[in-house]
Amino acid sequence: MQVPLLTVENLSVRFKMPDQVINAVNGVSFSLNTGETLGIVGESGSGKTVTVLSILGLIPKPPGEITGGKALFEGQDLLPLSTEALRSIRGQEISMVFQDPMTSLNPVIKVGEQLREALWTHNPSESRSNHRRRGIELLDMVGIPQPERRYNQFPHEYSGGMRQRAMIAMAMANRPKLLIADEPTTALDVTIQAQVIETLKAARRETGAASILITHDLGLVSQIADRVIVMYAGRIVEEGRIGDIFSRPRHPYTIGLLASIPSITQRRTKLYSIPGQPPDMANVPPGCPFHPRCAVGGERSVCRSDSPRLAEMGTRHQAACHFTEEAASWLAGRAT
Amino acid sequence: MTRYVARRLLHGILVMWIVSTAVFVIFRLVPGDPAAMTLGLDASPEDYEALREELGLNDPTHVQYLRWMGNLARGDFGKSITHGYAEVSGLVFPALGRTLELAALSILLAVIVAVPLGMISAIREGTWVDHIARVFTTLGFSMPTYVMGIGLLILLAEVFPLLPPGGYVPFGEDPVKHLSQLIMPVLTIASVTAARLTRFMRAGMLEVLSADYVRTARAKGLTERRVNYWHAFRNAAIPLVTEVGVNFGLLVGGMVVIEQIFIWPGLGWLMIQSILTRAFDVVQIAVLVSAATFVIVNLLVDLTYSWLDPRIARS
Amino acid sequence: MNTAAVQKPILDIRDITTSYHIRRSGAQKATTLVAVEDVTLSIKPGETVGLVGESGCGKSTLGRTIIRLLEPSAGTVSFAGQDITHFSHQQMRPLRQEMQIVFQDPYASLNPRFRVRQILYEPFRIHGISKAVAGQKIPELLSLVQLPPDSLRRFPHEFSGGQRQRIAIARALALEPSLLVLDEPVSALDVSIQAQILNLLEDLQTELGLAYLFIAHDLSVVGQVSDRVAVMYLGRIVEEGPRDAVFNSPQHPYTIALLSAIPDISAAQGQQTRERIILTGDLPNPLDPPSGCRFRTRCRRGDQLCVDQEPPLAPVSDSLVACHYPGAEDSGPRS
Ligand SMILES: Nc1ncnc2c1ncn2[C@@H]1O[C@H](COP(=O)(O)OP(=O)(O)OP(=O)(O)O)[C@@H](O)[C@H]1O
Ligand SMILES: Nc1ncnc2c1ncn2[C@@H]1O[C@H](COP(=O)(O)OP(=O)(O)OP(=O)(O)O)[C@@H](O)[C@H]1O
Ligand code: SF4
Ligand code: SF4
Ligand SMILES: [Mg+2]
Ligand SMILES: [Mg+2]
Repeated sequence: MQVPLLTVENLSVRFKMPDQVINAVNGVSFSLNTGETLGIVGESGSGKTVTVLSILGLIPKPPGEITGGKALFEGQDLLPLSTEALRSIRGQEISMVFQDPMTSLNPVIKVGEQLREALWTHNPSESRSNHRRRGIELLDMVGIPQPERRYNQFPHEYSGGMRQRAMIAMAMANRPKLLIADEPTTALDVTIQAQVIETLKAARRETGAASILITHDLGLVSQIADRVIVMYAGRIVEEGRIGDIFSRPRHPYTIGLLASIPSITQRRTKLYSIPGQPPDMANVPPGCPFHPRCAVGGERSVCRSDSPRLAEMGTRHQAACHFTEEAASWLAGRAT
Repeated sequence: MTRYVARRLLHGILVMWIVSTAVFVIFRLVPGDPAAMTLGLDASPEDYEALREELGLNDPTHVQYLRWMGNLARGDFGKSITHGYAEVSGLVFPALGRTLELAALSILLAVIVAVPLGMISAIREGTWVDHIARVFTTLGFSMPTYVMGIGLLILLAEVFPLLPPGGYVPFGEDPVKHLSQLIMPVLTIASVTAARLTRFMRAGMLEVLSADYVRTARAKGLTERRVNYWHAFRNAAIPLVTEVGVNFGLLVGGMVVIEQIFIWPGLGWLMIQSILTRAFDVVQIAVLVSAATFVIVNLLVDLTYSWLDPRIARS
Repeated sequence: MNTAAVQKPILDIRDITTSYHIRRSGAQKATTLVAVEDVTLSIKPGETVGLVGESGCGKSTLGRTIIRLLEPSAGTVSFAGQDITHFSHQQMRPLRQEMQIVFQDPYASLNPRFRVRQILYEPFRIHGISKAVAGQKIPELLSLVQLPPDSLRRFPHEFSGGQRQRIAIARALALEPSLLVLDEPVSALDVSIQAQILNLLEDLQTELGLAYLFIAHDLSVVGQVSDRVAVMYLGRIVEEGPRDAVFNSPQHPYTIALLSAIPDISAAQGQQTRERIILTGDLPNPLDPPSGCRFRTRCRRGDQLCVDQEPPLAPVSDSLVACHYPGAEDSGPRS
C-alpha cells in the first residue's frame, strides 16, 4: 500500500464564544492518496470548511482552537507548525479555492498582480517578467480569453465565472500536490458551474494534483470525486468510494440525503425528507448526534446514549451507526 | 472620469451659490440691518441714513442680491468699513492661511499617529497594545478640546514655562518662535483627531482582516506582513481618506475655540474679533470662505477616493 | 402535482415587457434595462408553473410584475379574468390578499424585531381584519406549516433557515391567497430541508388548491414540483411546455445545455445519463443584448439567420420554443 499524501487523524476543533462553545469538528480522520479526489459533503455548519482550514492553519484564533489530532502531509504534521513554517506549504504544496469568487479576490489589486504575487512569494529570485509571463499563461490555461488584457484588470471587471477561474489559476500557480476547493461552484450559475468544473478537472489532470472538493451538491461530488466523506455535526458519519456511497449507502443520514434529492431523469412522486432541523452546533444531541432525526434508531436507547464509531462496511467503506443492517433494509423498504 | 469631475465641480458650485445666498439673506433680513449692526444702537439717524445709502441698502432687494453675487463672482469681497476701508480679502485670506497651517499640521500629526496605532491595535486585537490604543481613543473622545487646550496651556506655559502661552509670529520673522507657538494648538487638535482616526482605522482594519480575500492571501502563502500591510491596509485605507478629509474640513470651520485659547489669528479668531467689532462685512466673507474651503476639501477627497478605488474610478 | 383540469387561468399575462431605468454613476442619461421582454404565460388554479433561468435573466422581475409589485411597460396582466395591468395601489389593495409572494432569503424577509405572532398578524392588520379572527387563524397557520405552537412567542433569529421559510410561507398563506409566487423559496436551504419545504408546498397545494409560480435556478427542483415549465434567457422565455416534454425532450439548445449541465447522481448509481454539453462564454450584458436570437453568442447551432432575426415562440411538438432550429438532437445547420 502506498503512503497517503495527507492523513488527518482525530482532528478536533472548537470555537470558544463568549456565551457558548462550538465543537465544530470532532475526531475527524481520513486520508488521501496522490492523485485522488476526495469529496466532503454535509449540511451547512457540519464542519467541512473548518476541517480543511485547520489543516492549513487558517482558522481564526481566537475564537478557534485545535484541541487535538494530527494532519500529516507527506509524513509531516502540519498542526504544530508556526505560521512562518506553514507559509512554504500554503499555496506551494497545498492550495485552496474558496466558495465566493466575488469576495475572495482583493478588490483593489489587479488580478494579474494577485496572480504574480502567488508565484513571487514562493520563487522570489525569479524575475518579474518571468512571473508575468507565467501568470498570463495560467490565465490562458484556465480559459480566460485575452489573458494579456485581463491580466491588468481589476476583479470587478471579471464575471463571476472568470473570477473563479482566476482563483483556480492562482491555486495552480505553483503546481501544488493538493488542491482544496471549498464549494467552488456554489455561487455560480449552472452553465458557468459546468465550465468551472471542467477547468478544475483540466487543471488537476495537467498537474496531477490530488484534490479535496467540499460541496453540498451530491450530484457534483458523484461526478468528480473518487471517494466521499459525509459529515454530520462535525463528525464523519460515512465514508467510501463513490459507487458504494451512492448505490449502497449504509448510514441513515446518507440514505435520507440521497432520497431527498430531486432527480431530473426520473420523477419521484414525493421526495423523502429527513425530519427535524440540523443540529445546533453549540448543543449537539448526546449519543448519536443524528438520533433526533433518524428513522431507524431514533427511539432506541443505545442511539441516545452511545455515540457510534466508524466501522468497516466493506472495502474502504465505513459508517458510524449502531444499526447499519437495519438501515440497509429500511432503504430497501423505501425503494419498493 | 472627466465627466465625474465636471459633475462634482458643478455640485460644488451649486453648494457655494446656496451658501452665498443664505449669507446674503441672513445678514440682510435678520434683526437690524448691516448699517445698524455696524454703527451700533446709539448712532445718529443721519449717520445711519448715510451709511445705508453708502452700502446700497436703499436699493431694491433683487438689485442688492445681484450686486452681491456679481461681486462675489468677480472675486471682489469689498472693503471693510470698520477696518478703515481695508480690503476684506486682505484680512480673510491671510487668516485662512494661518488656519490651514494649523489644521494641516494637526491632521498630519493625527494621521501619523492614528494609522499605525489603529492598524496595530486591529492586528493585535485583544493584546496590551490594543488596550492602550483603546484607552487613548476613549480619552481623546471624552475630553472636550477646550479642556485639553487649557490644560496644556496651564501645564506647559504656566507650571513649566517651556512654551509661549500662545500668540503668533510669522515664520519669516522668527521661525523658532513660530514653531514653538504652533506646538500646543497642534497637539490639542491632533490628539482629539487622532483618537477619532485611530478608532476608525482600527474598525476598518478589523473588518478587512476578516474578509475572504485576506484569507485567500494567507492561503497563497504570503507573509503576515504582506497580508496585513499590503492586502488589508490597501482596503482599509480607502475609507480612511474620506474620514481624514471630512475631519480636515471640519477643523477649518471649527477652530474657533482653539484659536481663541491660543490667540492664533486664524479664520475662527478673525470671525470672533469681527463679531465683537461689528465688522459684519468681514464676518460674512469669513463664513463664505470657510464654507468654500469645506466644499473644496470634500471635492478633493471624493476625487482621491475615486482614484484610489478602482471600482468607482471606472464608471 | 395534480394536473389542472381544463379551466380558465387564474393568471394570464400577455406580451409583458418590464424595464428598469438605471443611472450609472457618472453617466448623464439614465439607461433602460429591459429585464423582461414580450413574455406570455398563464397559470391555472391549482397548477404549478416552474420558471427557470440563470441569474439576472429576469425571473424575479417577472414574478413581481405578475403580482403587480412592478408595472409593466407593455402588455397586459389579468388576474381571475380582470385586467389589472394599470391598477393603482388603491385598486390593488383588495387583490393583494389573493396573490402573495415568498422570497428567497428567509433571513432578510422577516422583521427581526417582531415575534412570530406579530409577523403573522401583520397581513391581517394591513387588511383590516379583526384581532379575534386573526387570533383564531394564526395557530391554524402554524400547524399548516408544521411549526410547534410555542413558536408564536419566539423571534426569527431563534429559528433555522428552513423554519424561517415556513414562517414566511405561513405569512403568505394568512389571507388565503389563490396564487403564490415563490421566488427561489428553497435556494438558500440545505438538501434535507429543501425536501421538507418542497413537500410542504405540495401538501398545501393539494389542501388549499393554490396556484404557484415557482421560480428557481435549480432545474431538478423545478422538475420535481412543476406541472409546466418555462425557461428564461436574458429576459425572454425560450421554451415553455408540460414538465415531461421540457425535461424529457427539450427542444431549445439552451434548455438542452441547462439540463445536461446539472450534475446528477444517476451515473454514480449506475444509471444512464445525458451527454454533458458545456456552454462557452458568459451571459451577455443585459444592457446590450445580442441582435437576433439572444442565445446566439453561446449557441452551437446558430447561423446568419439567428444573427438577423429574433426567433418567435412557436409550437414544437408539445411545447413552445423560440428557436430557428429547434430539436432534441443537434439539428442545426452547423452541427
Ligand atoms: N470563525 C468562527 N467563529 C465561530 N464559529 C465558527 C467560525 N467558523 C465556523 N464556526 C462554526 O463551526 C461550525 C462548522 O462550520 P463550517 O464553516 O465548517 O461549516 P460548513 O460545513 O463548511 O458549512 P457551510 O456549508 O455552511 O459552509 C459551524 O457551527 C460554525 O458556526
Ligand atoms: N431594481 C432594479 N433596478 C435596476 N435593475 C434591476 C433591478 N432589479 C433587477 N434589475 C436587473 O434586471 C435584470 C433581471 O433581474 P432579476 O432580479 O429579475 O433576475 P433574476 O432572474 O431574478 O436573477 P436571480 O436569479 O439573480 O435572482 C438583471 O439584469 C438585473 O440586474
Ligand atoms: S446510530 Fe442510531 S440514531 Fe444514529 S444513525 Fe444509526 S440508527 Fe440512527
Ligand atoms: S435561434 Fe439560432 S442561435 Fe438561437 S437558439 Fe436557435 S439555433 Fe441557437
Ligand atoms: Mg463551508
Ligand atoms: Mg431573482
